[in-house]
Formats: sequence, C-alpha cells, structure tokens
Amino acid sequence: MVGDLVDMTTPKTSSSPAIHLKGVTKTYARRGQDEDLKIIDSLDLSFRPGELVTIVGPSGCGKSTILKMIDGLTPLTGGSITFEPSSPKPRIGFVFQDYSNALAPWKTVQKNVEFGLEIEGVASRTERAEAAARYIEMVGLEGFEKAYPRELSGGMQQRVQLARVLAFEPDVLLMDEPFGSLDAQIRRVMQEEIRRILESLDRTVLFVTHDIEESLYLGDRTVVLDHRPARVLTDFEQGERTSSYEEFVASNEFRTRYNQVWSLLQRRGDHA
Amino acid sequence: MTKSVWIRGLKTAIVLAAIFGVWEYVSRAEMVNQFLFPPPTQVFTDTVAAFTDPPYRSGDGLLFQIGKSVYRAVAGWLIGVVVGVVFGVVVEWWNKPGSVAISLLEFLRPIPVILFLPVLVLVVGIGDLSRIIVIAWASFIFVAINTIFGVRTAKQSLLPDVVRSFGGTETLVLRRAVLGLAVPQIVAGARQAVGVALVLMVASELILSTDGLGWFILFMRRSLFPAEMYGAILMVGILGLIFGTLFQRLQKRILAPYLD
Repeated sequence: MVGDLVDMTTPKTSSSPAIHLKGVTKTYARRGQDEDLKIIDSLDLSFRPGELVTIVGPSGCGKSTILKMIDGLTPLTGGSITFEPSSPKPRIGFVFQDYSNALAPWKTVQKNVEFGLEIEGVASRTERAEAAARYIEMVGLEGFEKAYPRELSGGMQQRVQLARVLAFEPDVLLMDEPFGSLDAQIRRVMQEEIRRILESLDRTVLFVTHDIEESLYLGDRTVVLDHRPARVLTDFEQGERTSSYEEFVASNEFRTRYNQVWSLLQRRGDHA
Repeated sequence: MTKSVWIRGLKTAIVLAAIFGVWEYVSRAEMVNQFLFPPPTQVFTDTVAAFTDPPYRSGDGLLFQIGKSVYRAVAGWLIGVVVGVVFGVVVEWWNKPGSVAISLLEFLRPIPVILFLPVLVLVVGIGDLSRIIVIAWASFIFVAINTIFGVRTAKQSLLPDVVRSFGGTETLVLRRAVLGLAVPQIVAGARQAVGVALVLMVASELILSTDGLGWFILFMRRSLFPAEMYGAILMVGILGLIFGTLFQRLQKRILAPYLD
C-alpha cells in the first residue's frame, strides 16, 4: 500500500456505525466467455464512524459496486461487509448518479422527498410533510414543492434526491458520483452545498467520484482505487480544512496530493 | 391556445361544409341516383326523425341502438383494460414467463376475434354478452402486451433499487415504483384498445344481431332506407370523435406529470 496508513483505533464521536470490508470480491459472468470478469479482488477497507471518505478511481473500477454491496443492492461474490455495532441495523441512504431515473416522475418534489419515509412506513402525513419541508429548505428548493422532476434542472433534481435521502435520516450516507452528470458550474455550487450539509451531519459518508479534485476537496480521507480488479492504491487523511475552495486548490498541499494521485492512476495506464 | 383551437374548428367546418355542399349539389342535380345517394339535408332530417321514430314498424329508434352499442363498447373496453392490466402485471412481475405470454398474445392478436362471434353466440346467446366478450378480448390483448412491456422496462430501471435502498420489500418495489413507471405504457395500450373497441362495436353487430348501431346500418341497407343508413354511419364517426376526445382528455390528466 502506498501512502499514509490510516489509524483505525481512534473513533470519531458519531452515532454512525463503522463499516468493515474484509476480502470483498465481486465477479460478473461474461456472456460467451468461460472466465468471469473480476471487478473487485479481496478488498480490505474500513471506515470509521462519522468519517467523510471520498473514493476515487478510474471509471469502471468498481467504485459504485462497492457502495451497492454496502447497501445490499448487489450481492457479494466473496468476503464480508460488517457494521460495528451491527445492531440496530444501520439506516443507509444512497444517492444515485442518475438522478433523473432515481426520482419518481409522477410525484411532486414534496412527494419525492417523502418517498423514503413512505417506503419505511411512516404513516403520519404531517410527520412526513414536516421532515420533507425541513430538508427541502436545507437543499434550497423552497417554492418548488409542487413541481414535477421533469420541470427541474439536473442540479435541482439532484437536490431533490439529496433532500429525500436526508429526510430518511440515515446513519450512513452513500453517494455514487452524485455530481458526475452535472455541468462544471453547477457541480461547483453543489460541492459547496454538500460540504456545508455534510459538516452539519456528522455521519459516515462514502462519496465516490472519478474527479480527483472533487475527492481531495470534499474528503476528510481519500481512498484511491486501481482499475479492475479494484484494490487500494493509496489511502490518506487530510488535515482539518478551513480554507475556501479557491485557497485550497491553490495550496501546495492540494498540488502535492493531486500529483501523487494522478501519477498513481496514470502509472496504471488509465486516466481518472 | 384558444385562438388556435378556434381557427382549427373553423377550418374543419369549412372543409365539412364544402364536402356536404358538393354532395348536396351532386345529388340534387341528379348527377347520381338520388334515391341511393340522398342529399345530406335529407340524410339529416331522416336520421333525426329516426332517433325516436324509426322507419320500421315496431321497435326502438336510433338513439336506443346507439345506447346499446355504446354500452357494449364501454363495458367491453373497461373489462379488457382491467383484466389486461392485472394479467400483464401478474405474468411479468411474479412468474417471469412474460416473453411466453407475449408470444402467445402476438399469435392471437392477428386472428380476427370476430370469427369467434358465431360460436360465442351459440354459447352465451345473441344479446349483449357475446359482443362485450369480443370487444373485451381485443382490448385485453392490447392492454396486456403493453402492460407486460411497461412492467418489464420499469423492473430494469433505477427506481426499484431506490425502494430497496430505503429498505422496501419487493411488494413495495412493485406498488411504489414499478406500477407508477408502467402507467404511460399501460395508457398507450388502453388508447389502442379504444380504437379497436369502436371498430368491433359496429363489426360485432353486423353478425347474428337484433340491435345496435351496426345492426341498424345493415337493416336500413336491406330495407332500402339509404338516408338513415348514411346517417347511422356518420353517427359511428361522431362516436369515434367523442370517445377519442374523451380519452385524450383522460390521458392528458393521467400523464400530465410524466410528459413535457
């Protein structure tokens, strides 16, 4: 393993669970080929409670698959994923990259934000509406409660998804390239928003991206994954950051880290 | 919006007036046999008279026949839609032999259901039920095929994973995600069924029947009342226009959130 070793013994204070991946392996059967495609090969990785971890790697390296396995959406081929403590079962919120297909087109913004609570079985309409209103405000969508997703821009649709997952009040937040489909300007705005929101949350957050800059700016800790099969190239923590985006990307710390990650990924013959 | 509707209405009226004008002239000038091709003014007056006072000695007028036909079409369509949706969902969601069901439906679809009518009449009698079954069957095929495709596409989309991610059971995946996503495709099937129900409404009344709009058209032809015959044929067109417009309104309401 290249880079700094992460100290797993000092937990942060948080109601979130720690997550442990042990020997996690994922293979897919390929049509017309005897040999299965190995996406992830015995990956060991741990996340501490309350940690904001960005996972960066080339497209198709299995980053998204890792999140889906943690959420139980995709079965593991081998290995195990455990939560500590394991009970009560942690509440996991998942933010999908493809926001337009992740929202219910026939539901208004308000109803889409209530969706997670509805699925969970929160029967009280007022309770759902209050939670929805709180998080609609948090993501800055007041006034759009009655709009349908198709009437919103991509950035606003992603805000709806964010509000929906926050209203669910998850212990663990999994974000799968949430800004990958947004244009550069909106992405910058959303990065600031998510930083503000996540700082107030104190939850374990795993944020997958293929954008090195984004991963360094948002993460308390960054895990760099190799191309198929995914393994950890480097894993480092960054100091407490108080600087603005402009200051940060102009800093030596940022440039050193950026070059380190870039050269690691480049050496593998694949660009991030 | 309202202005363009007005202009379109005006254009339609002008075209219709021109057609009826030419028809009136051709008939009145005896360029064709006036008995076989009566002028539209006569068609109009005779048809209106036939609404309650048909040219045959006893029995109900044209209004009653229209009522009969509409009842059969609406009942058959409704049954076909309901059964088609339930069948499509059950087949594609639970048993997964959706592809087999689709092949079977595609095989049955081109067989003119009207061929079953004589047999049906033997089994269930000459009344409403045989016609309703024919209309329901044809509607069912269209709705079932569309529902199967709609559910299949919905199953493969992202929203089911969203439901699972929030801890939802597979039942909730179906109820909260798949059905909602399948609605536009189901509505498309119901729309195709409206067209086929109207055609079969008339066609089913041409065979072994004692009432209905189709029967009336046939009976007027045989009894040499061409004006009433043309009038009834025009009524079929008007019914098509009414049902088409009504369904379009319904469709617009249901699909409003889905469409741009």
